[in-house]
Amino acid sequence: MRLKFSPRLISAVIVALIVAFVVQSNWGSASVSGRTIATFLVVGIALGGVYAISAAGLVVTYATTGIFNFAQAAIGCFLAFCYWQLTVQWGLPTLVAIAITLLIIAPAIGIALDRVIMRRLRDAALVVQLMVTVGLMLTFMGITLTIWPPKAPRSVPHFFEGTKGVQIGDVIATWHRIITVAIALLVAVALRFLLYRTRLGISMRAVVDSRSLAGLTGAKSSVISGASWSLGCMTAGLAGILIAPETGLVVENLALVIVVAAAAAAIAQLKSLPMVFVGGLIIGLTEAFTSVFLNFGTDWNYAPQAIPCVILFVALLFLPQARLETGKVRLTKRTERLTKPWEAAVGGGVMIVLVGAWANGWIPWFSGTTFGERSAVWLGRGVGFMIVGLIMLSLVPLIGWAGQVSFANFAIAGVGAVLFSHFGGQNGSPIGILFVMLVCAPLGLLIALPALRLKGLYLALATLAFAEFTDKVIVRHPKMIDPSATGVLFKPLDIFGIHISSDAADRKAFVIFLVIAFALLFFMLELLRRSRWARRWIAMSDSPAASATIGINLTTTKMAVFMLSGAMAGFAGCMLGLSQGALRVDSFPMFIGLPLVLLLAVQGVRYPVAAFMGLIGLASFPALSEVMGNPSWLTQVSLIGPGLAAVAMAYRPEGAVFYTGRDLAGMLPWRADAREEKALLDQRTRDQDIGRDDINDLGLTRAFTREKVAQLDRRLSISDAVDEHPMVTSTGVAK
Amino acid sequence: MKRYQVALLAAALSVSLMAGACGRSGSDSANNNTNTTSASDAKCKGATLEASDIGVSATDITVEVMADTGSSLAPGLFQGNVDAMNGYAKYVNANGGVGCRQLKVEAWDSKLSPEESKNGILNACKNSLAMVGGNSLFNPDTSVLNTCADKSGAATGLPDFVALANDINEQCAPNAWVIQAVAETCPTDGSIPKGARDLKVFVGADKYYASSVPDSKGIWLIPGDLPTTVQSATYQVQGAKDVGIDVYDAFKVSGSMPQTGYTPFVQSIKDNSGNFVYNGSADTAMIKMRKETAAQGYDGVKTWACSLACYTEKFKAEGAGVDNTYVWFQFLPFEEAANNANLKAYIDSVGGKPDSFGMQAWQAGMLFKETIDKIVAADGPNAITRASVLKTMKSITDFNAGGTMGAKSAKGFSDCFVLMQIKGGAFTRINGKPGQFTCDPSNVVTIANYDPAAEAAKVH
Amino acid sequence: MTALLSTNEVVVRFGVLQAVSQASIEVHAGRVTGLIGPNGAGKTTCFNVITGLQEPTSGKVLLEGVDITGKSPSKRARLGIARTFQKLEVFGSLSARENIMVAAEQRRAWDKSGFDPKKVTDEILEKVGIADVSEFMVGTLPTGTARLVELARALATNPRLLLLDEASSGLTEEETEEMAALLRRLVADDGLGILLVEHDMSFVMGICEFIYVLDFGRVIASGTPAEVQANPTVQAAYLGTESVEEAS
Repeated sequence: MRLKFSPRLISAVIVALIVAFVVQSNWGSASVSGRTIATFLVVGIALGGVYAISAAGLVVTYATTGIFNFAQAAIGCFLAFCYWQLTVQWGLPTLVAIAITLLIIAPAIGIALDRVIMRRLRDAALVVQLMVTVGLMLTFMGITLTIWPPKAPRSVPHFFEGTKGVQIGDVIATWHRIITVAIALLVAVALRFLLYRTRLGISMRAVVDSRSLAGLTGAKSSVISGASWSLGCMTAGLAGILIAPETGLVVENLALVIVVAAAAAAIAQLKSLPMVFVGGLIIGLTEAFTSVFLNFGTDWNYAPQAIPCVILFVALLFLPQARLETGKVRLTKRTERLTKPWEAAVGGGVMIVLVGAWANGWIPWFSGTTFGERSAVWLGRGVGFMIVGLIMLSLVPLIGWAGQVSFANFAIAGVGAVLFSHFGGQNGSPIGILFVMLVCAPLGLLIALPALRLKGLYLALATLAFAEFTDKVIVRHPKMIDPSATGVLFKPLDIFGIHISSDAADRKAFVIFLVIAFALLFFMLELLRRSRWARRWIAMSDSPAASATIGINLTTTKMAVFMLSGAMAGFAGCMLGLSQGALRVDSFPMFIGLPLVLLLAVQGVRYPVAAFMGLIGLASFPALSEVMGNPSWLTQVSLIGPGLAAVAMAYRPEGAVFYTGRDLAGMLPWRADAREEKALLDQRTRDQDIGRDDINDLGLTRAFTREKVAQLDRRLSISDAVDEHPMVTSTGVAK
Repeated sequence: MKRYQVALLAAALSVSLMAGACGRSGSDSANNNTNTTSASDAKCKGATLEASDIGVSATDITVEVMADTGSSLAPGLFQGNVDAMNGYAKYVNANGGVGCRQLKVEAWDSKLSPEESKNGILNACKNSLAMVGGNSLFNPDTSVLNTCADKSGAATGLPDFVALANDINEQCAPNAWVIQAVAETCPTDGSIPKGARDLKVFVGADKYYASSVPDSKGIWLIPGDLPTTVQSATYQVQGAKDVGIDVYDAFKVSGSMPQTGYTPFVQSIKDNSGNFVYNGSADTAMIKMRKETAAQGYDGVKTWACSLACYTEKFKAEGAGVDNTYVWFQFLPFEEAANNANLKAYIDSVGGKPDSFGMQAWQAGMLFKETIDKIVAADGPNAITRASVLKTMKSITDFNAGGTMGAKSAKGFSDCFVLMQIKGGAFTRINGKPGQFTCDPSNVVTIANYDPAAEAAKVH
Repeated sequence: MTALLSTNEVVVRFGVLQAVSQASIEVHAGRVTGLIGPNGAGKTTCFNVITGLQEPTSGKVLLEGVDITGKSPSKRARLGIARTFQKLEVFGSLSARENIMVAAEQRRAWDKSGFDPKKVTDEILEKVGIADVSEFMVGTLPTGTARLVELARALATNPRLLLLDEASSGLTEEETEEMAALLRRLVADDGLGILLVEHDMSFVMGICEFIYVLDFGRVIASGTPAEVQANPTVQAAYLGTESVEEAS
């Protein structure tokens, strides 16, 4: 079907119309004069410079490593604190401090990251890549907060602070801001030159496209990837040093710039550095315009905060449409034994028994004075953990099977909670839950629509934008959450005469209700995994192109999984609302969606049982803390811990459940196949000791030996046994 | 004694008593405490102590301080409350304890979460006599304060001597005595105020600004992150307007706004020849505003005013860039420890690092002790029960924490304040004498029939 | 006789690069047709156009005379086109059996003859000779075997037209012989039309009845194997050497 005008043109017109409408209906009281325009331009460009620099690092990293680095801004934040330490605390001259930070510390971090983590991520699934960088973000934030506790006053002076800037009309552009904008532009130009005109830069990009081919030209990929990450960290540090005086040396402000940076990077289509500068300007000017000329009324009060995420979303939609992707084949274990229905039923039963026993105080470790006295408190927390588990369950079919990485499920749950407060929650009617699920299913679908044309990473970013938009605009609309409504919005649910609410007396029933619901959904998912639905989703995830060619309608298949996931998240949302009791406008921040996915991914996205393991892991932390008497160092570890666990995922990409399950399954008497499998795999690992990087050098600096060749053959899956015919004879000459 | 000497003695006594009763300034209210304290100490001697209620054993009284201390993004936010309560317990125990027993403080981290706040109240209900010195930003479900069962199983309720109640549910909870001023007029039936209603505003500082710069005209910076903070700012702006400051505009600011975001505000002041800026948000907002105004080269602002949010070490560390900023608050400044033994005790107990939140927690502790002392003086140390604490607590309508704050009741405002100005990294007093407050009933005005939610909508 | 499939002056342009120009190819049912050419000649692009994964800049694709140029890949699958891929596109996380099952189950959407997908899967596993690896995850199988799984999966959709993209690469000589026999059977028994892209010249010349030669996106020659082998343009394009078996 060929339209007269390209779909892109039509979308552009629609967006322009919407923007015009929004501007016109929210026009403020400022007059359009030379002064206001000058203010708007100066502020907008200054902001734009800040955003452009943050985004440049993101784009450079993506272009040279193929990995979208969520931790970019957090690394910049850490480096900004280092700079402060050097220049304000230890009194080093500014230039020396900058040099040490950017030329010594930053590259050191980059090389360390590359060596320890990033190399293992190259062929990993998208969700693993993203989650490891999210984990890194949390780790860096945690380390920064630990080394430099926030109570003490810290500030970084502007460059040329105290001097009069440049007068433009009625406004003064300070030197620091001019420098920021100039450096942003310079960095964009310089990086573009580096990446397209220098040997190093071209090698960096080549390594992303095809590592083996690049290796053939003599580019040593291990050195290059170290250089790429160093470059990324240096740019992050530069951004941090320039931004810190403007936003204040506060971890939250610096690390969460990532959202705006992502928006600017999306405008640059994640590859064009000059466009990054333009992208930053667009966002900065939009924000300045809103601040100077517009005035949003009650209903859309927080809309200005949603500007970056809306721009991110629109930019993603305008990206060139990806052809149906071809998939990456991942080496996994040899056979995947599907859980039998009776095993799933037993598993669900075990969950109910475990949690039920805990709720009744029968587990020895937890009973005793502490639990007895705090039982209502712990039961309340147990409710919270179960709800997190439910949301994670909803992610299993979506991310684990269908390969659609989405950060929006917590936001959907939030909308579910809010809806439930209006339809059913306010009078304790369980029918309301069904209604909410029915609404949340198509809500999940709404997110699926951009999924139809966005591939992996872009989809993940779009869901992030959606989650942010939900947090800042949808949920905060007064009709959703009434700002003057106070107190508890939900009446206890009445299910078969049992009261369920967050009141102390009802909490035990609430926990048990939730674990039964969890077990039922778990059972349903295990059954679903054996059905053609799951097979189709996994097929679509492994190779969309091939799926299409066997007749799978990718659109309806994707829609189905998004709807299922949305409905499950909606149910979790109703429970979330009921457990919180009161809803605040900032109850559902976007960045909670990230650790949720992370928690599941660490355990294993493909396995429903991982959701249960994830919630056990989540619960064990405060439990441990309680048992140890709440030591303060544990709070600090709690900042860094989850981050490190995620980073460890780089070494365990399939998820903890996979590796533990394999080992544990061997212990069950009827699982001889699991024991065989483990023995086989152990032997393969022993034989396959040829490392990735070793291959690069073979034949160039080191001779082919019989053993090495045999290992190569196994690596290439040409032969399975140890002593098959090697390609090279014993004299070392190729046949 | 000869008759005329008795008459002289009687006259001298009555004069000193009257002097003590008039003028709520001064630190002689410590005398009131010592009267009850010594009375209760007397009752301690020789009494066999029992466990008279939950949180009261033969040897200890347990209270819980609930504050947001451990949230991962704002770690240690209200740690000052916990430190102050721990310090207060040490101080009190070294000076004879409270209610003939030792004071034990259990700390609870509400983690900026409504669930953990509710859990904290549940925990206090199970373990403590009362909640003292707390500061939890999100505390919407305070129903347990009313329904908490005491030792006998009756739903007597739980006393909450709260330092700062941000959530209106806690502010108007019948069993909460709030140290920080409460602007809402709380209905007696325990329902929550909504819609157009009467609100109280403290305008003492505004009156000073208006009188020192008669044609004050300018802007108000409002903390914009939550609708409640925006709403509470609206009636403060109205109060300022009512005493003659032309607040022609108000702007929302947020913690994450970069300094460039303040340029439009500076432009607005330039365009309107404004000379007044009030910051109701955090100290960082004021710092950025001042820096940006300087960067834009405007020097026409004569009154830089801030709430007690600027009374911090961080603000002092900014040096000359924030000179002449006013701050006002309703407790004695830390600089005047020499003038008040209670203030000094607090500052010493936290190792010389006080903050305003800790100060309020300490005052809550003092209120708690005063309540207990009253009970013991009247009925002995075994009469300390939740019921008696609630009853006595509600009878205290004129508490001034040993002279460290202006007298106030469980809700509402005191009409006393302290105004200070910062110069060269140090705060100096502007009004009144060290160790004393400036009090005037006209410092508190009621704004009638005001709907903050509706007004908040108009702020950009 | 109308061709089973014909492409009509198909042009595919990527920016300034002309990947395919004026390609007009015909594939007849019951016959194996070959598509050969040096690397980068545009063979896979042709395949992508025929299966709907690539929109041609101009030109048409006709299935039994019906214009299917605008139809999506899944629609074309329903009409009876199946393919394998040059860069292995197996469902690596599923077992060989499940790979075929997915296709067989999907077929039920348009094939209402009431067949049992399980049985069909078993039959195909036998036919293609991979029954012994049916439970293994295809991501762990050697390339050659994985290609057979792809072939089996394609067959599960009961196609009329089968497009094979370098299906024999990675197979030993023996396995290649078996595949050739299989293809001959499919053509003879089931009346399939097969279009294959290959680098193994002996395989191609042995099994194809008609061959197209592509170079730089253009059809430079077509005819029977003997004709094509003797064609000097073809020889020049290949520089006279046979492509190496292990090159794939």
